[in-house]
Amino acid sequence: MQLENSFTVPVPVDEAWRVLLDIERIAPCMPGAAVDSVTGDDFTGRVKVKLGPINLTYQGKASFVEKDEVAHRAVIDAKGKDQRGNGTAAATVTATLKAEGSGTRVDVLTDLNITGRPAQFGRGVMTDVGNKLLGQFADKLAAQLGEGDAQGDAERESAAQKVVATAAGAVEEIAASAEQAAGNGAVKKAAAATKKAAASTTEKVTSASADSEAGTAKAAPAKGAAAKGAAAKAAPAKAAPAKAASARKATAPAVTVVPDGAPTPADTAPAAGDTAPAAAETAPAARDTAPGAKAPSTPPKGPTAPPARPATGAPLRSVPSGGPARSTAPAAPAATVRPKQAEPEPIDLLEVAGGAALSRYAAPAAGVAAVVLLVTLVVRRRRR
Amino acid sequence: MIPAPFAYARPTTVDEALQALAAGGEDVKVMAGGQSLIPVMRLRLAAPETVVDLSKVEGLRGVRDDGDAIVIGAMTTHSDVLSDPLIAEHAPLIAEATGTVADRQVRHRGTFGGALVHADPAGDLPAVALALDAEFVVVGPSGQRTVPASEFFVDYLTTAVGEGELLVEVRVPKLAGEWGMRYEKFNRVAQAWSIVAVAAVVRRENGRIAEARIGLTNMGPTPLRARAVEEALAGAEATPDAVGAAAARAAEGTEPSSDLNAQADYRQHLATVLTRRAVSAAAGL
Amino acid sequence: MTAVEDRTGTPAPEKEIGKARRRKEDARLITGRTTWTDNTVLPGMLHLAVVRSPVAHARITNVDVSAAREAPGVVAVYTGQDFAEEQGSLPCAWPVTPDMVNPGHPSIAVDQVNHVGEAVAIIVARSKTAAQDAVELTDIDYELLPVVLDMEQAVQDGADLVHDQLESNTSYHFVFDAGEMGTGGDTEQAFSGADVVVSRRFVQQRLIPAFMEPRSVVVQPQGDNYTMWSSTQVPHILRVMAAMVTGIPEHKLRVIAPDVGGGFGGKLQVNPEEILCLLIARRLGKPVKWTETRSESLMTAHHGRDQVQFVDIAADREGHVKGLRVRLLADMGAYLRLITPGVPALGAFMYPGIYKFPAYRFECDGVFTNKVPTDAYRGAGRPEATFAIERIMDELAVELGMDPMELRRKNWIDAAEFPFTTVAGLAYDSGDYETATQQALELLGYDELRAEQQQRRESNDPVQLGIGISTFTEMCGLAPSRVLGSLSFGAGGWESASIRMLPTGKVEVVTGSTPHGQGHETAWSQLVADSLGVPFEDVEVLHGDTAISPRGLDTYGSRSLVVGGSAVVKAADKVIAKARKIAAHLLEASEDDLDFSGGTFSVRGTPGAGISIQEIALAIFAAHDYPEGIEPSIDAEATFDPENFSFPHGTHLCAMEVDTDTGFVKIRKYACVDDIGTIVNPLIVEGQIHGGLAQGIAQALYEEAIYDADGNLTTGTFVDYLVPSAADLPHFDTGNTVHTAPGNPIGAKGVGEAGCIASTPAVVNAALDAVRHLGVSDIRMPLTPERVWRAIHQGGDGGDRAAAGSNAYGGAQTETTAGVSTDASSLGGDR
Repeated sequence: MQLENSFTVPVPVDEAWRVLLDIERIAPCMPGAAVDSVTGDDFTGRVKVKLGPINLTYQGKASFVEKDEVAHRAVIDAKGKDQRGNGTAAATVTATLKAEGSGTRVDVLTDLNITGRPAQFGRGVMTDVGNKLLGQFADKLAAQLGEGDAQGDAERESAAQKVVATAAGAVEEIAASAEQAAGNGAVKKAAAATKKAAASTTEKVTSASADSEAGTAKAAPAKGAAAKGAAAKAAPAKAAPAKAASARKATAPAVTVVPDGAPTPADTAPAAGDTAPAAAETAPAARDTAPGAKAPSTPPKGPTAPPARPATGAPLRSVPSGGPARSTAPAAPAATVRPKQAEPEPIDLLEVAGGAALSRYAAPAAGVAAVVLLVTLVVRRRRR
Repeated sequence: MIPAPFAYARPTTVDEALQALAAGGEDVKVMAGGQSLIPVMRLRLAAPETVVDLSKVEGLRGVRDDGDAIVIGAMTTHSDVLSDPLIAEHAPLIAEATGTVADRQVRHRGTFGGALVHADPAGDLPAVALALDAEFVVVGPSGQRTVPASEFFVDYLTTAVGEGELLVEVRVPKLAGEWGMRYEKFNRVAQAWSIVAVAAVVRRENGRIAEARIGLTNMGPTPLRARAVEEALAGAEATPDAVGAAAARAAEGTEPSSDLNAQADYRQHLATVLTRRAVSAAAGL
Repeated sequence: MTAVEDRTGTPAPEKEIGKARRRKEDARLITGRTTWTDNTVLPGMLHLAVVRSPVAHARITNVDVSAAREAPGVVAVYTGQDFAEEQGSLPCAWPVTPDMVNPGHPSIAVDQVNHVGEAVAIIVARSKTAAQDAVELTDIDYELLPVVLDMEQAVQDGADLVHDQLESNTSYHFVFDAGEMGTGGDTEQAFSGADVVVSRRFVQQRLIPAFMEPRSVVVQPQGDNYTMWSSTQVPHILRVMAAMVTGIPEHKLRVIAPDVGGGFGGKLQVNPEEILCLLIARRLGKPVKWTETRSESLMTAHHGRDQVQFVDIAADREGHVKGLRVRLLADMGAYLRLITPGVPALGAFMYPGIYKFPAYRFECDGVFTNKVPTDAYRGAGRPEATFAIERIMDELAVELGMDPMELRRKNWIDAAEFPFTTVAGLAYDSGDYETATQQALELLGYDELRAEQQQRRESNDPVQLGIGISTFTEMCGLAPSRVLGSLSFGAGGWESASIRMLPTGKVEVVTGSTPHGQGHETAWSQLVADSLGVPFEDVEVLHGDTAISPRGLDTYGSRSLVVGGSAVVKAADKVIAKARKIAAHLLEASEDDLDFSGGTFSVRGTPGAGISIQEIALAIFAAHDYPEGIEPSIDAEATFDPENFSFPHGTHLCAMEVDTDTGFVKIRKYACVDDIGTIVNPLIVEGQIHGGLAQGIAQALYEEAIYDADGNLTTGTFVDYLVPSAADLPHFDTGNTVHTAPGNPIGAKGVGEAGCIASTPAVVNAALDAVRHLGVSDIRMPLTPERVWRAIHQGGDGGDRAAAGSNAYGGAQTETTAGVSTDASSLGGDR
């Protein structure tokens, strides 16, 4: 099956290209994946997939089979076998970068091929999982590319982190209140509506988000703020609920969250519906009402935000997506090699869903909000 | 086909069950009736380290009257549900939907709680629980909590029941007033899963529909409430035209999957037709 | 159902033949208190588990089974390399053309796999569990090759090849041209001069036999002798073939088919695992067992149907048919199994159906694809033929604006014309289509339903009603050996039986026709009880063991009663003839003065003087007093080889409700009247008709084996491969006319496949009749609600059932996509 993901990141194409070729940064974008070894253009690793009672662990290798410097096109070939002999999974991922304004548009085309028992069902569940998986891969990739190659600007980092901390804290409270928010159902509905709209064109997104009373891309902002802070992971999770809550109730809390992190609004708004959230990063909470609506029409711009660039591709980056390794990453910026995960975290469907949902339905943040809310609730309970 | 090796615990109390869950290692699975778990284990798509079998746990089976609600034990089998007088009186929708679950053999082993926690999007009971505003009583190491149906279903095969927790019972509020219910299931052969199904619970008052709750099965990763329809029906005249107009909005906001059983657009179409039929029947039209 | 009830109400006939006896074997079969192959437990027996290819087409680049070899309980692990030299090729017994290309069929893949599920390694372990656990430890690398799935693409020039050592994906091109054979006129001429020509493309979807008992094999080596138990329809054929493949001398190999839980043609095969069990038992010197899982069964046991039919019919304006032209693409799958290529050829002669076509031409290409091979499945070629002709007759009627029954009447063979030689060269034996049709119309309540249909149309009812017709015939009683020879089939079509008279007067009947659920034991007992005049209960039927029943050609093609039963009757005649000599001797009378009736020889004109055949059995066992010059035995053996096929026929009518809101179809009423010649046991006949209808209706409405774009079988469990149950099927109103078959002593025509062959087009015609006024002219089988709904609301035939969301015809776009779109990402299917 072929899956397509597209997004825009606010870094120049050459910079995004360099990141794209950095296996150590790209491989972990695959949710549930762990890299075991890297040799030149080849790497080995594992991907765990978990779906209700179903558990699959694919072990295998991947390599760059094409790096077209001129066309900015890279092709990664990955193949894995399930450890229980349940068949194989193979993916050919073709990423194409194109300069778009000062940013880069990324098209990811994945040819996914699942064999063996998981393929022997007529129900579309496995495909949906594959879809979500790839969706999340795209999210993380977007985040990764968005970070560019010099994540390390210390000032930038610390600034971002501060923001994040604040955001996280505030959001946590909001999330708690959101739990009780009666609006949940409505939000969900709105989410659903927006999800659907997001699937198609920009203008649809626009109208959809207009419909959804919530209006907006909230998760993104938190993200933007978080840049890549450790908090990023937690923050968006909470931020979203905040929005959801605000949709119905008061926007106040959300507003508090934002100001710090929130760069000036206006600018961004990428062309594509999916990237709309990126726009959000700019004017987050401040505009819980119509935001998404405008976002799409303006071409993306480098955010003006405070310390350098607020990790913007981020729209996509989602809640749980980070995982522990990721959360530390920002703190240890730049050149640091991402710590390898000893054991891959299984792709919990929650995670997949959350991440994918974010990426897919990002623009109309209400959708995000609902999903994230659920996730948050569950995560909290689990940790209890 | 033979499952991969696994440890097996068969506790007799809820506390023992929770301990078994805690002690079971990384991948512990709870087995209620085993009608979904065992097949995936036999196919080796699941290979849990430990299976905790609840069949001998006391107090989880049966239905009781608890004032403003009836309480259905999680281990109550489908066939028990079908013959239970309290369910027949207060929530006939549950019995109607349960009667469409798989086949007789499965209904004798499969359980009410097991089906809900398994949360198969094509399963029949989740949408019913949603439409009846049921509440899920979950226990875990840190005590008991109650989750409303609207928050219980999280994603494909995923509920709010966390690791180390158990669903022990489901509270179904008794309804006051003139209520009608209907479960419209659409599938190809008798024992098959729902392609789409609709659970409708409707309160009539003076020839009008005072309130309607519509649960949709298999219209997304989780059961959904058809809110647009519910809103359109609230206060509407109980006429075929009004019901039809409201039901036309059944697919709003849904994003069903496409698979061998049906493409998404067809599922959305079915949702509108089945909603019309379910609401009409529930409203006595 | 009704018919049975009616019959039980009538007084029992004196003769056993015609009595609705309950089947004597059912108690043990239904309760499972019997010997199935998988029940067999032998001392020291080892268990096999097969490691199967998860990919449809690939070179095997590396096989690492070292970890599996070390696993607890594992005795040995074998790969294709281990048997490359000795495994030979699985047999294909039907080279339909002299230049047919057969790539050979290894039992275990050596260096290339050609379909998902092909064996690539085998674990031998002390327990089934240990074997299954070790499967996970094997590590096999594949280098993927392009997957060939679509026949119409596979036959194009430059198409990817399933077998790259071959020149194309076409195995054979089989032609039957009535003009060339002298059985009809020139087809091209018939078409060029016709007023009306209707052309259609029909798709016979791939089906899975889905027998109840999964396949199972046990092999026990004893010195240089081997005994194989197998859940097979064909122990005799299997013995010959297995001996030829493995080189084990035929007399050193005994094959036993104990009780077998169904086959439907799916166990008319020499399976890879049967050969592998023999090879492994030979190598290890220990008994081994293999029993498949249901998933393995659906994925690797042969499938049926899977043809694309291009059908042209020519007629004049008055509705007289002038010519028929059929071109088939028949999916062989990846290999040729036992009669894979012959299935479409078997159907070749049935396309003209019951109609008097002056000209006919049939062409078929057998095409290789990367799927499991096809082979016999209930009806094998004839359901496809019947579907094509009965569907195209309806289409022609629409084109001519004529009532479909009137069109059929105009063209069918009249009762007075039997025996009738068709344009395909077959001599139809007996029948009366008009009478069967009249009865069926009455059973259905045709006129009332037509009135209701009219009313529903006028009121624009969301539920529309349609009536479908199938006036069919088929060829049964496989088969005259000489005819099989002329078709290049690798064996004859005779059947053998012997009767052993035991000292206590009990009777053992040995039949070469091996049952797998048909009720041979009951029917044969009825035949023998009538022939020999012994009580039904005194007859025991032995079968399914090449040591007990040394000669036989087994059960398939509705042949058991017609050919095997006839052999039993012939053997009984011989017993009586031999007993007559003894009786004459003991009664001191001339043979010519003896009457044999009710089991007793009596002397004409001498009341009270008589001796029963059971008394003679004891007398000849003692052998104290018998005539000079004859052997002291009245046992006898007979082999029956039919001169001609038999031709059951009937009229099947289906009334169908179509919910135009959802596309859901529901059979309102189903009536059929079948002429199957003499009915030995009405209850068994009823059961065969009901079961056949269920399977035929299942093809029309439910079943379809679907491969995704990578060659994975996505209907790999019964969750997705929908076999209907009683709850999904209507009440059946059945009836019979009886025109005995002249070609055999019983007068039976065969009933095993009739229901399955006749019902499919009746059901589809009914659904189309219900919605044709809405602009629908075809709907692909199975008629899923979605297809019906799409055909009504979007036109076309409902399209492929592939879904964008499944692997099949893959392609999904995540919703984040903006501006990137490819053809592959649009919804699949050719709607």
